[in-house]
Amino acid sequence: MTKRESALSAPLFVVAQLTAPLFGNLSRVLTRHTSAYRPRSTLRLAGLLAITAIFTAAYANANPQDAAPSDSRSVWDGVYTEEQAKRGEPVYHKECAPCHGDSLAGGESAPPLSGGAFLANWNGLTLGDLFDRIRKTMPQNAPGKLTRQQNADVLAYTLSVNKFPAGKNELSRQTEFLKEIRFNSNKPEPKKLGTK
Amino acid sequence: MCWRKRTSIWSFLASLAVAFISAAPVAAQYQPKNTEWPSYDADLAGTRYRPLDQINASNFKDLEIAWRIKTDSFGNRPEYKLEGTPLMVNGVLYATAGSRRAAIALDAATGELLWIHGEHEGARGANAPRQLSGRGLAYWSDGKEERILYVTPGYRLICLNAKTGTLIPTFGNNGTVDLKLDDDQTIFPDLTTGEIGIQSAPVVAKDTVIVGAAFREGMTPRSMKNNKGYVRGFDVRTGKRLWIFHTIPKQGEFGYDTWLNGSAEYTGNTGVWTQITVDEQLGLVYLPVESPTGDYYGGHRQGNDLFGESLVCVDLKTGQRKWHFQLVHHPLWDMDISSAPILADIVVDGKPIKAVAQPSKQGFLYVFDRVSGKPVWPIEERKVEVGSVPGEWYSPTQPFPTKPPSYSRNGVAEDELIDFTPELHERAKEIVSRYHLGPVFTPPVASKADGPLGTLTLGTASGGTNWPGGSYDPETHIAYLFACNSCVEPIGLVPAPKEVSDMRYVAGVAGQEVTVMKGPGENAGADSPMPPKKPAASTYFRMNVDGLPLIKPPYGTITAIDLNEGKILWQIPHGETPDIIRNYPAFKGRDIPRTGQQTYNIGTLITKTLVIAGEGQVSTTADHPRGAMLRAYDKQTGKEVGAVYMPAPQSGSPMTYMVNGKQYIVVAVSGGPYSGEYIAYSLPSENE
Repeated sequence: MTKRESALSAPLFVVAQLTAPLFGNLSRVLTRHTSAYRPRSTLRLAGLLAITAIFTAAYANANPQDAAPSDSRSVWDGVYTEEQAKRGEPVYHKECAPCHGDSLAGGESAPPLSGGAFLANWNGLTLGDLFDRIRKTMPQNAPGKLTRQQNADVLAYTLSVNKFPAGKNELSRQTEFLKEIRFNSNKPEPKKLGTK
Repeated sequence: MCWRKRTSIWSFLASLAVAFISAAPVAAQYQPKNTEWPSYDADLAGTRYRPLDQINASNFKDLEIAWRIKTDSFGNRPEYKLEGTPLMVNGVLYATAGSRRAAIALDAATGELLWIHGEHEGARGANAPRQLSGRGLAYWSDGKEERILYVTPGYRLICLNAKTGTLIPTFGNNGTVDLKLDDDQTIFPDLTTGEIGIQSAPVVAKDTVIVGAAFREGMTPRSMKNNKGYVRGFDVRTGKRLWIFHTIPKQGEFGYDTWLNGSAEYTGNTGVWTQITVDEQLGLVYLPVESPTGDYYGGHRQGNDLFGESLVCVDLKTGQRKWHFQLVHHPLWDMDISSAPILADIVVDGKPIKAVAQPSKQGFLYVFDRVSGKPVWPIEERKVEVGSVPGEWYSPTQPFPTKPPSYSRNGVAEDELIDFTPELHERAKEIVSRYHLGPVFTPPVASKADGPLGTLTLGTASGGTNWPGGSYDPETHIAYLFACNSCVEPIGLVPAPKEVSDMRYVAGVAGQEVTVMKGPGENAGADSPMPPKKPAASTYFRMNVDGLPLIKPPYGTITAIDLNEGKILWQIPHGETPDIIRNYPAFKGRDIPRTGQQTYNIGTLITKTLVIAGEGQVSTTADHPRGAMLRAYDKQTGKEVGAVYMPAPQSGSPMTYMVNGKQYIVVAVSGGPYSGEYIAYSLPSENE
């Protein structure tokens, strides 16, 4: 429970992030609260840096594709193998299909794992987020029942059904590695050489 | 001059005073310092309406989070499907929450946790067909005592002291009534694993608690036989059973003969799993009854199957049937009746009518005189397609309301397919070419590998209006209904393997192994061991093109319907255009009007001037980070007047109340990576 947090009102959010003078104002606010025991100029700089960091993080969140380093990978870069997806298929049918359906279309009480609603649910996050959600909470009647490897295989199978391309390397079973792979619902346009 | 001027000032002040005095009763009526939300749907009439206006078109966008509470700790694991709508009485907010379905009480102004009550049900809870936090609870008071009632996943009615959260020892067996007992049937196979439960909130009317029943999902039943979903009334003071209504009639009762070959004896389900409404003045209860056993195959329950998919009116004191109307004869589409009937006192052609309006998955709003059961506008029996699934029985006709017109799609035709580009349209046509298409009530087909794979339907399992129901303004006589306008459901039938079911047919696709569909958290190994699995055929029949919905927009809508006239006043798409469409490369530079979203579980809240509903899907736009918006629309026009950010989709319907002169809106959010949370919004202090 937290009291009185600002509900991010949409236009205000963008304005707040993009209006440079505001940084000055906010840093002054920070200064006022702490100036008793620190030199003012350092604090203003710290405040500005903090706000810039918030800005960068929030902006990266809003536009994952724009802000991600150019060498970061996404689900469109062939991040699992066909063989791994095949291994995941029977596991999916045994452990997941009873609620999520044979065709991953979801049921009355379980969300779809394919199509628009699924893509919308995870767009902008990472495979690590999705992997951990599966690993920690599924199957619902026995969370944690599957091994990390099985979970990675099921995830590979899910990606294959959603027509994300297979590649040469298997999907890792380590969350940290999977956190490096972005889940983008839209296929990126081919990169043009010489342009940013 | 001076004198005259003074007079005019006095007369102005006097007229102001008159205006103030005459306005005072209205203000008192509409803006009391404390406005409660004492029942799941705000009231027993199913309106989801409170005539508050502190939060309005001019300031909705300024809303801030007043307090919030994550539900992770109300159970031994977090839940990602928080569907509750809290109650607010006397400055205290009550809700169900968490994977334990705990009952909690919070200070309505600050969110401070006052008490929590959880029931540890062990194997009985783990075997329950409908688990997780459920939709809510009921409040009762006689002016002195205050009580909270809810049903556990294991189907026990719990009665708590609203002030302390402790069990009421004089109610039932030390605060508990075992709903698997005293039910005019023996729940099989036993009390622990016997399939029956409920996730909706009980209702209390005139000292009677009314409880329905829910079961597993019915697409692939293990058997044609199941427990039955009777409805019961209990004394709120003692927990004593007062009455029971047999949703499947017993021998000798009205309707028994609509089940041919004695099938009423063994057929089950046919419960009331959604919200019940009550007219306390008339002493009448309105029961929206669901489908009988086997959502898509009725060969073992030939006949019309009363009271399956019927609206039934019973006496509040006795449970005796007053009237009924079957919306779907011999149900084959999982249309259920999925939401609360709405009580509406309307005026049609100058004549006042106490009406009941029933929203539906099939996009029809059925309107009846709630005393006589007679349709307000004619409902015609029209011929429908008769299918050819072996062993099935078909009703040659189905009821079609003549007014109001359907408010969401209820059949699939090629001209309803995605048409952003000719190429996408062609690809959609190719997908649907493998299915049988038709208008509402086109029956399921036996799935064939070379086609049709099934009947492609809209307005069935997850179409139209589902459990959150609609809203209704008793002053303007206008109903507001959210509907999924694009939730396609392919319905194919395959012979049931003996290890899976004793039914002749269950839902499935030719060439694929049958998977038994389950409810949330249902124990995978409960009763019958699953057959060994071999990998299913790797052909998948996706109901989307490149992740884009198969059907063209609007995907989800809110419709305003004037119940005096039986006509649609406006309809708007609800929800941001999904990311996948806004960012689709081929649409770059195109101005695509807002599409709404393909979600089926959105509930609306209406206030004096606004229709308020959150989005059911996450999006990331230039205006807001990854999240969903709680949107407000002008009630008269449907025009959006403001939106406020939520970190996750709306998963339970919003409610509102006023405490100490301050209006709050509380909504349940969860889904994807975000576990359940109730969030309370209010205006910043300077705006009050």
